[in-house]
Amino acid sequence: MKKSAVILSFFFSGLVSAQNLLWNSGFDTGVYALWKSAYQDGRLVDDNDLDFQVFHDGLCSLRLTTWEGNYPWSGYQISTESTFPVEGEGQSYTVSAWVKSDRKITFSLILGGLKIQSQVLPEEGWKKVTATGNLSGKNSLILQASGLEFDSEQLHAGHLWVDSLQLEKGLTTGGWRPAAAEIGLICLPPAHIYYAGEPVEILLVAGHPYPETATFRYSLRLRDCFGQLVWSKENQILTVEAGKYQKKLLSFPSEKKGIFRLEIEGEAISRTKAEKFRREVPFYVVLPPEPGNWNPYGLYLQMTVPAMERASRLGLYWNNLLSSAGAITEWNKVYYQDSFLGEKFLPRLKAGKERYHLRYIGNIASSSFPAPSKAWSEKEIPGETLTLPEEKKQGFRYLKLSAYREYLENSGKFYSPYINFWQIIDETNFRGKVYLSLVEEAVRILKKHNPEAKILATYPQNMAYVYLRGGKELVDGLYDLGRENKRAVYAAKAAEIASAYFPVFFYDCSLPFNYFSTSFHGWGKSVTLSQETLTGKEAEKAQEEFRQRLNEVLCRNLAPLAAGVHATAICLYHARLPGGKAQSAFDTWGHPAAELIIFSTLNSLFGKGKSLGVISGKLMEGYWCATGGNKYLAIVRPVSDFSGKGIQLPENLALKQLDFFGNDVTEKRNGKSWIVFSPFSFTLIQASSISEKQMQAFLQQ
Amino acid sequence: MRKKIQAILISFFLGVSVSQPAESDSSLIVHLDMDQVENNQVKDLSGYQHHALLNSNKGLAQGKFHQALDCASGSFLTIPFKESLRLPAGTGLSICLWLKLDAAAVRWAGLVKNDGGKSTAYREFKGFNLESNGSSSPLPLSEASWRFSVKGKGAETLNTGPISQYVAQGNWFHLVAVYDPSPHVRGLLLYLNGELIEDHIMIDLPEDISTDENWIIGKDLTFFPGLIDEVKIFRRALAAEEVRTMYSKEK
Repeated sequence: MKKSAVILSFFFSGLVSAQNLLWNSGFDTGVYALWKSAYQDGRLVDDNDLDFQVFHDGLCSLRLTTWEGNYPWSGYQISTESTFPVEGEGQSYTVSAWVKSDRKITFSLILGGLKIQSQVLPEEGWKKVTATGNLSGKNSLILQASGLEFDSEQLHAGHLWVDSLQLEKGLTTGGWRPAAAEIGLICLPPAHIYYAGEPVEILLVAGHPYPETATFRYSLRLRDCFGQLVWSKENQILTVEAGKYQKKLLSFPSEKKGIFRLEIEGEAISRTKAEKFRREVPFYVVLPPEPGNWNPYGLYLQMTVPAMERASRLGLYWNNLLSSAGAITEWNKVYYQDSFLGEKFLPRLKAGKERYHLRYIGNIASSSFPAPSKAWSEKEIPGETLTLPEEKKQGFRYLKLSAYREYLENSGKFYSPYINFWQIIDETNFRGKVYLSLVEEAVRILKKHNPEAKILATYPQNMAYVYLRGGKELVDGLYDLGRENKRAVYAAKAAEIASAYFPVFFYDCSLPFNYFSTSFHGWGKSVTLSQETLTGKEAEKAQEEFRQRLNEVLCRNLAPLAAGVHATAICLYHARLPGGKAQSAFDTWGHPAAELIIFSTLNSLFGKGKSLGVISGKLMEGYWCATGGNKYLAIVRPVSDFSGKGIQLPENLALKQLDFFGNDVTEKRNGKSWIVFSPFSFTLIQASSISEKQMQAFLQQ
Repeated sequence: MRKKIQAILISFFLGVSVSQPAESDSSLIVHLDMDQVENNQVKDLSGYQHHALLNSNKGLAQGKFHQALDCASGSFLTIPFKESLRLPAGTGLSICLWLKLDAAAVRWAGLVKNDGGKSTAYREFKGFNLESNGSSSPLPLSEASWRFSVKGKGAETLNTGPISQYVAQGNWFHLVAVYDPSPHVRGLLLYLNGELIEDHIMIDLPEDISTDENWIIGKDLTFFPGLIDEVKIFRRALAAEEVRTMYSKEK
């Protein structure tokens, strides 16, 4: 790959203090250099949260974006990836940080037994906060920012910038300086997502605390999701003067799509000291979104509001609140504060070129409907309340219909210009009449604001109930789990009740793949905590498992539905990674879920595409769909008695064999193009600029 | 019971044998009032001769109307399979019973089934089964539910909320389970005292729930812990209004 470099220098300053014991304490070498994001309700911190305009020392600060003021889990949380030892049992230490905010925010820092909790006000500018106490043994560091006030005019409760962390022996603190030679790789695009065809640009940053110039010798290695080496550059040198940081922009073309990580390994050498280092950064290369068409490489994100910029990077879909706690916030702000949803709330939506697609009304988890307290009635009032099913702890509850209607009115009023699809109630335990009542109200009000709005019922039983007992006009689609074959087939049967082409949107499809995988998680590393790159048999095992699970779980189980007449979209989320926590979209190393990208091949989201049904040819069997713009995608495998090595592609058809990242892997032999099958495995064929008839004739041959 | 008295009075005054309204319905294929018992055989009043065999000569007790099947004492009824019990594909089914629960807990307590004793967990299960759910030990009524399963290629199960939500121990109540495979309904419906309490849509609609097995009343994994009276089984789906009327007349 070509590489160009731009080298820039920055100084860090300040009074020389006792040695700083915290590595990368100014975040200058990136979020992924010794820090990691702790999973909190779908939010993540990545290099996009570095602020190169607002900082106290070095190159940048870390910008923590707090959640709405009444959200119980305010603020991001990050923690040091590696613990660090301190010398001497019970010795005194001082921890300090520079902080700044644009709203009234509480900043918390927890380091072993030391804790800083400070209210940070905008008018204070940068301020230093400290805590002194005893430390011993190994320690870790947690930062948190909590919004304190609810502001109807802002999306977030505010930002808090944190910089220049320092841990020093003793009872005093001096000027900030790095702890050691530091090097890191920084990806600035949200979620580290690059578009194919655009250059991948990654910042290499190095600095050190030595009093003289240091030389950084390093090697760069680009690896794919199986740990295989894609590209490398050995014996590189970067010279960094004392007291300076240097940036070097690594830029290379994004010819290949997929999941990658760039590793840097080497040694910082000065006259007095030599320190080894090894860092890495994960990133993705995906096809840019194609608004209007089905996006076969599309991605659906269910994340929190602060993650919208990441979702919008993919130009796709958001469903902004994951947890029931989030839904409480949603209810509160929509029900009580309609100005909250005013124009200022929606800058990113407005900035988007295409409409966002999906949003839900309500969210139910842990069997409780998360409406605010004022939405409940103490008793049943005919015509005014909706009696919700009895629950063990709460008994029957009576939802005020006026509150629900107001919630719907506000949601419809503010979101209708941006949202096409509305999912009614997630994770419901409401059945039958209760669910029907909620849908009836939603349909009436949301379609008043936008007659073209589409209403999706959640779960097959609910959809069928609404359709059969409520009326055909109430539901436009089914939104259901797609994680297992039986469930997906059941959903397709439910759709059949409505009509032969009734759409189903499958979500949560990645679970059986990644969570139960013993070797593959998208980063080409051992799934243990060792952080070792997969090699030899381990790497082979990971690739084999990847192929097998892809074939079994996504192709055999879901492809029939993806390409079947009912399936309109497959959405992947709830990525649960080996080493990650339950429902974690982040792995042991804090990497966001790679699966979100890799399996997006099978997404066929909205737009102008359509499913075209089953392929049953002499050579191939499978399913196919149109993705819009005279493009088609077929998911096929050889018929059982097919023993050939492949199928020669007709020259007059623009056909390509794709891998699951969308890379062209068509084999060329003697000037001819061939599709090469693996036994029993599904493969992808993409066609461009041909007619449906031509494509069908080829597939049915 | 009022109906029964009314019919007797009419037949007394007219001097002729008069069919009761329900019995005039040819879809009524089983009607066991538990009052006409000879040699441990409970007479079927439907006219289809689906008489039931009582497993014990001590199996009857004071019932809702006169006598009732005392399942709590270990009694149950068997209706030997006959072709006239067969349910053609696409045919609905309605099971109506008066019940009195005499226990605070239940464990897979059977009401009516034709599944040959096979659990729904078995692949070969086919037929219908109206029962309570359970676990390895009896569940209190606040945790147990009514359960109505049908299977025959397709399979669906209706589950209600907690039994205690609907009935109290020691009270008589009227339970009607309806299997309605018609395309516009596709429902497993459960009525209690004339009111619909659960409406389960059958997405995986069974093609045929007939079996060659005997029909069993009052026993599944365990005996129904109480009394069963006035069992009526229709070879069609009763409409909600019919269920309500039946309850109103019989209560």
